[in-house]
Parts: sequence; C-alpha cells; structure tokens
Amino acid sequence: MLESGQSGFAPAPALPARAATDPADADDLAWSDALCAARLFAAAPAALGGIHVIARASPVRDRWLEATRAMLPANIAVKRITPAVPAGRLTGGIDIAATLAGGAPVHETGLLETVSGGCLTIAMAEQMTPGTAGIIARAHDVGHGGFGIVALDEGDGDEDHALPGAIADRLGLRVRLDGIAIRDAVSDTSATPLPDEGAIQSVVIPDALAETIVAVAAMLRGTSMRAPAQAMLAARILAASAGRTEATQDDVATALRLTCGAMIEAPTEETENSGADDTADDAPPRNERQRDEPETSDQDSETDPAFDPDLLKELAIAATQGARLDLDLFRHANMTRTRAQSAAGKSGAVRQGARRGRPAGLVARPPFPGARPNVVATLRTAAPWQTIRRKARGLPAWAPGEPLSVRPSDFRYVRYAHNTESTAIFAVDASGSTALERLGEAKGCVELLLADCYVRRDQVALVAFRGDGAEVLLEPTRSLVRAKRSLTALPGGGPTPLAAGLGQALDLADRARRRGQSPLIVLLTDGKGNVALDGTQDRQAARADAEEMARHAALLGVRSVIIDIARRPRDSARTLAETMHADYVTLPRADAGAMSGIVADYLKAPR
Amino acid sequence: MSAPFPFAAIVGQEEMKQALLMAAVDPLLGGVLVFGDRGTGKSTAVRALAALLPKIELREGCRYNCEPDKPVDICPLCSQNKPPLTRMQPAPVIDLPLGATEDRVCGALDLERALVSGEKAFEPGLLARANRGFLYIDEVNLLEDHLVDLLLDVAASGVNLVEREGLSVRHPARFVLIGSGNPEEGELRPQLLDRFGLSVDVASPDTLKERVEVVRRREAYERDRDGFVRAWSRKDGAIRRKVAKARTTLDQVETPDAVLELASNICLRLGVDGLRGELTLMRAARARAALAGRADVSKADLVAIAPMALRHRLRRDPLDEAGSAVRVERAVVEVANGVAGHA
Repeated sequence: MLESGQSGFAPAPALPARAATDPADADDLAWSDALCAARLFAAAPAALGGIHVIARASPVRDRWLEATRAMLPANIAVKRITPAVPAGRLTGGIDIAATLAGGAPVHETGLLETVSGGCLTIAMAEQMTPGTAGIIARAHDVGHGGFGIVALDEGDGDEDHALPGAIADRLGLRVRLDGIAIRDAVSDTSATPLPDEGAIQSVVIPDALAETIVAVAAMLRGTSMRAPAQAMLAARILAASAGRTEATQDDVATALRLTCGAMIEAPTEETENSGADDTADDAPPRNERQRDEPETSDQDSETDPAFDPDLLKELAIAATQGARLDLDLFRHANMTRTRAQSAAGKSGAVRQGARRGRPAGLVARPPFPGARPNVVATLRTAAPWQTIRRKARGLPAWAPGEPLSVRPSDFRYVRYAHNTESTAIFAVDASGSTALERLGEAKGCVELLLADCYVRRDQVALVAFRGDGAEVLLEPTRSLVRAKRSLTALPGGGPTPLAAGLGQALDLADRARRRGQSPLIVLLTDGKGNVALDGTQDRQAARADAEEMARHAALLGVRSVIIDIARRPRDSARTLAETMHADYVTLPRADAGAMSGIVADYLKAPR
Repeated sequence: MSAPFPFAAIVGQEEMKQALLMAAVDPLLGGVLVFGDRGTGKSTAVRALAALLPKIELREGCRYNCEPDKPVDICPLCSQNKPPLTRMQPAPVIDLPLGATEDRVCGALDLERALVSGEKAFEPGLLARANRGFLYIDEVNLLEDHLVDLLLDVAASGVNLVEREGLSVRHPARFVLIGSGNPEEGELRPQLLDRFGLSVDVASPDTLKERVEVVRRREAYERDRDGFVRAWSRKDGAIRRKVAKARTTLDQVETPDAVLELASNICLRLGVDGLRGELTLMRAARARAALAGRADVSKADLVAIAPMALRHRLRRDPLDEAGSAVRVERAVVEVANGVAGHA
C-alpha cells in the first residue's frame, strides 16, 4: 500500500473520480483525498474558508496536520486555539495588568488579527460555543486579508457536540481521517509548487460543468450558496495545479468530493423510487447511519452520488440542455440537509439556554440572594479605577505592591444559566392500526407545547417505536420550525418493540439530565409489547425486557407519565406504570389538546 | 476592509432587498428581521446596504455621530466652541458581535485614560457608534438575554443611559435595528420579535440558472473586487438616489382613507395584538410608495408589504401547516375582496 503516492498528488494529478472497488484501496483514497484537500487549502486558505477535519486525536491526524503545515507557505501566521479562549483574547484590547504595572497603555493584539492572512487551527472545535463561533466567523468574513480555518472536530456524530453551523458553513473542505490505517498515512514527498493566484483565476470552468457543480452542491450541501462557490474554486485550483486552463470533468468530480463529499445526504436509489411518504421517513436514520460509519466502506461509496459518474453525467446533460432541474430534488436535498445540519444548530440552542452550573456571563448585581462575588472578575473591574481613586484621596499613582481599593460597585457575579429547564420526551407507540392517528395527535401535542415553550424554556423530543426498533424522530428542541420539518411525515404500523422505545427514551432522558435539564418521559402506549430488545417477536421475552427497562427507569428516577391509549384500558399499562414508578393516565381517545394540557401541567409542576 | 459586494448585484431576494430599502427610507419603521438558512446572503445584503446608504453629515472624529446642529453635551469634540467642520460621511452600519459584553455595547469607563492618567472618562460603545445609522446583529436569536433587553430599551427610547460610580452619561442612540438568524437554532423571544418593524424570510434561489448566476457573480467579485464594484456602481447609484429621494418625499406621501380602512381591516381579520401592526403597515406602505416615487399610497402598496409587516405579529397557531406569510396573504385577499364588494 505504500504506492499511495501515485494515486495521490502527482504533478499532473490523475485524481480518482470514482470510488475504489475494494476497501483497502478506499483507505488509500481517503488518505490521498485528505492530502489533496490540504493542498487545495494551502493554495487558497482564506478563499476556501478552511477544512472541517472529522477525526479523533490520532497519529494519523497528527501526520495529516504535519503534512498540511508543510504545504502552507512558511511565512504565514499559524495559530492554534482551543474553544475555551476568551472573547477578549480573540478580539484584543488593553492588557490591564501590563498597563497598570507599566503606566503606559499596553495593547494586546487580538488573536484573530495576528492570524490575518494565515491559518487558524481550532482544536476540539465541536466544543465551541455559538458566541465564540460568531466572533471567529465575523472576523473570517470581514477581517483584513482573511484567514483559513482548520477545525478539528472530534465530535463525530455526537448530537450534543457538533461544530457550530456558523463555522461549518464557512469551511469549504471536508476531511475524514478516522478509519485510515497509520501505515497508509505516508506523507506526500513529491513537493510540487502550488499554483499561483493568477493561474487559478484564469482557469475557465465551462458553463455545463459550472451548472453541474451548482446542482450537485445544492443537492449535497443544501441551501447555502457558499458551497458551490467553494467547489468552483476547488475545481479551479485542481485544474491550475495540473497546468490546465480549463477545468475538466475529473477536476469537478474531485472538487465536489472534497468540498461536499464527506457530508453526503443525497437521495439514494431506494428513497428515490419509493413513495413520497417513505422518502421522508427513511431519510433521517439513513443519514445517521452514513455519518456514523466510516466513509471508507465499500457500500457507502456506492450510495455516494459524488462518486457516481452517471449522476454527474446526467446532471451535466440536464444542465447543458438548459433544463430546469427537478425542483423536488432541491426540496428534498434541502430537507435532508437541514436535518443533518440541525445537529449543530440544536447544540447552539442548548448551550445558550440553560445548563445548570454553567456560568453565562458576569453581572453587577447578585443574580440570587446570597450569591458570592467572583474574585477575579471583581479585581478586573476594580483595576482600572485604582489610579483615579488614589488621586481622589491625594495619593500618588498606583504601583505594584500597593493595596488595591475595591468598592461594592466593583463586585461582579457569575450569572448561571437557568436551571429550571425541562425536556419532555414523548415515546409513542407507532405500531398497529391506530398508529397514524396516535402519532398525529402526539405530533400536534409536541407542536402545541413548543408554541409556548419559549416562555418556560422547555424542550420537546419525540421517539416512535414500531417494527423492530425505536427511532428518535425529533431530537430535543425548542424550535417549532425544526419540529415541523422533522415531523412532516411519520411512519406507522407493525409490531410493538415497547422495551426498545422505553430504552431510547431513557437514553434521551439521561442525556438531558447530563445537560442539567430535568427530563419528563411521556409514554403513549397500551403497555402490550411483543418485540424483545433483540428484535425477536416473542411476547414473553418482550414483556420481560419491558419490565426490565421500566425497573431501570424507576432506578434512574426519571419523572414519567404513561398515557394509556388502549380503547379498553387493561392492566398491562397500569402494571408497567407501577413498575416504572410513573403516573398513569387513561386517554382512550388521544387528542393533542388534552395531551398537551396534561404534559404542560407536569412540566410546570415543581419536582 | 475592501469594498463590500454591491447591493444591486445580489441575485433575487427581492423581498429582503425591498425591506432593507424601506427601513433605510424610514428609520422609524422599526428595523428589519431577516430569517433564513445559512449562506443565503443575509449578511452580504446588510453589508452591501452600508455602502449604498446616502451619506450623512458628521464631524471628523466624532464618536457619538452627533447631528451637527444638535451636538451631545458629553461629546468632547462637538461641544467645543469651535468644533471641526462637518463632512459628508457614509452612514454607520455597526456589527454587534455575539460575544459582545455589556460594557462594549453601552460604553464604559475609558480604560486607557483611567489606567494611564487616572482620568475618569467615558468611552462610548457600539450604541453610540450606531447612532444615526444601522445596528446589525447576526444570529440575533443567539444573543444573550440581558443584552437583548438592553437593546430593546435603547431602541425604543433612542437614548442610551449609563450610570456607574460618578459616570453618568446620556447620549442619543437612534438606530435602525437589523437582525438576522436561523430559526432552526432557536426562536426569538416574542417581545423582541414584535419590536422589529418588518420581518422577511429568505431562502437561496431554487432554480439552477439563478444559483449559477449567484456563484458567477460572487466569483467575479472575488477575482477583482474594485472592478466588480465599479461595474455595478451605476446601478447601485440609481438605488442610492432612489432612497435619498424617497427620504425627502416621505413626509409628503398621502394616505387615502380607503387604504387606512383596509389596513385596519386586515389587522382585525388577523387578530394582531396592539396598534403596532397597523402603524407599521401604514409606515411601510408609505415607504414603498415613496420608493416608487409616488405621492399617494395605493392599496397595492399595502397588499405588497402586508406579509413582511405582519407575519411575525400573528398569534401562532402551531397546528397550521401553512407559514404565517401565507395566512397574511390569505387574509389580505379576503379583506381586499370584501372591501371591493362593499364599494
């Protein structure tokens, strides 16, 4: 496998336009793609925005970073930050300590200014708060000379931690390093000079190919207009580095793979062929799966449209004929994109909202009676006043060693985010004949709750269970818009995996609790499960599993309410409620209004 | 900072462009809220607007953007006996970054002077710099709650008040608030929502041709910024003149009673709380008429701006699948037809 250099960056990069056929080659391809992305980035760091590197810390990642650094011009500024960097360090200002000690203003240059024209590496980028992301994104947009960003995202599909959308959308290139073996990660020794600005700009992209780029980017990265612009630039650089003045189909295919490829969420064949309802149902779990699996598996490559030369050709033909693209395709792409993207969005809402014990800024007044002032913040506030206060008392200017005068007005308190937030987790039995109706009502209930949830800062999630498992239809959210988009179509019918549904709900509850929210599980069921946790249809095992789960829930002490939706309520749901230490309500005709009333009461009630 | 992308070169997005121009014509309209996904050109449009606005008269170096004949008493520059001469300068468009502290926004003790010479001086913040211009908040829905409260206060009163240990400062801060955000990342508080005069939803163009055009123009701009801006300067200039002319004629625009009646009927039909909806509706319709160079508001003006003036004021009906803009349009059509039937 050491010959990977050949398929990687050679002077005239015969870059692979299609997927390799066996997994070993796929590894190779992933690494050479990663190097290729690094090279593109090095040629135009600011214009391409940056690289979104999805990988855990590993020797492979270190090698890749080394290789990237080697490709970047030696004379540019390269800085590395962590998400914890305070806003003041990013934007600069007066260095209070140095100024006080020195007696002359000492300006601290903001990090973002020093990195201008260079490259900013953000370690653990998935931990970044939307606030920090906003500052960096703004500097990236309007800063002098701009800079490139290498965002090291170790989240890998973790819903709670994803790179904030403000940054992710600005990064033109996507690189996945997980799953690459260290022996494949050989650094590229053929150091070819980077194409210069003029050569890149003079590359012509034929209209047909430009339209292909725009169409594919729209399908793969959704509504954002940054994606096609980044892909065009990538294609130019590829062509220029091969010494061409006109981009070829191969350049375009490679550019699309590197800019949009790793975030594939396009309609696959099965979803395209099946009915309209199905498309929406199947899409989210598919995406999840695709994102969780390493990109390199053979099957993935096949379902990946950027690798599919036929699709490219088809799009190109459609484009050349001036045909308007099927609008449904756009709409579908936008939907899937939004769903996948929303992981990043949601984490914003959560972080900004309420996490118990998380500091959320400084205030001058105690946020609650008996709050203790924050010593460092108080001293920082008092520092600039020292000279003024001493002057007022006729003393000479402050010098190191002198006592500090601190007054009540200097006191600063750390404001903690609300800790009263609740998350209502609906676990809905979507099996059997009445499933659709029930789901519809549950959906109505979710939306009613969300409509006034802002006031209470509550979140709502929805789990549906049917067939052989449970799926999270709606991740905890406060956004009505999101809820509507993800709940447009709901699957229903089939047997009842009660235990799996309960398990999924508990999982969400556990996560909510880790964020400092108090979860409430609302289980809509008749209590009669017939699919065991392992997916077998066995009433006995199913009941045992469900009981086990219920005991587990009781042990965790999650507040829960079981709404019995059986036409004729029998003991099964009641027994389950008892095991679970849950409240039990019968609602033979589940309707959204009554349900949301019940749940709202629970959410409002103190624990 | 290099020249921003020309306003006229933005492909499509007519509703957003119209709303921004109307806010530029009538600052009392109450600002614009732009909601949409990432990469749909929200920030580009606002930054482009900055370059397009008619210039205002300012004194060189004034940090409060004082009006030349009504200087702020705390402005060290304009309150001198012989203030420097005024110059026509671009209207300020100030970016409020998400991480901004309260001190940074309102102004605070001038750190440099306090530390070095022990002087107690006020350092004006972003609100002072936005005076007589625009204040732009990207991702307004992620802004810290206490900052939102503060901004609302100042935006409503037009005055910024800072009180702290011997610093007692009052200065005008009249600005047009422009907020943008992505509704998927969290909704905006209803109180703040209502304060915005207009609200538009943006999406990127959904035809291939338009999308290609967007990318082509962007590329041309990146390649040669100054050249591109020059190429569009005539069209930008035409829009600028239109805005400047509309500003002068705005006060003379007449509103016929029939249009007033229609506005009230629409608000009644939609059950919009308070009078703010009707007032905005009228103001917006007048701004549109002024932009079009007409002396009278027509019903068509009202119908055209009703969605952006009202869609964020409706009581939410979460079970209604259609967007609120659709509801407004429906109501407008119903009411307009009803009125026509009476006549």
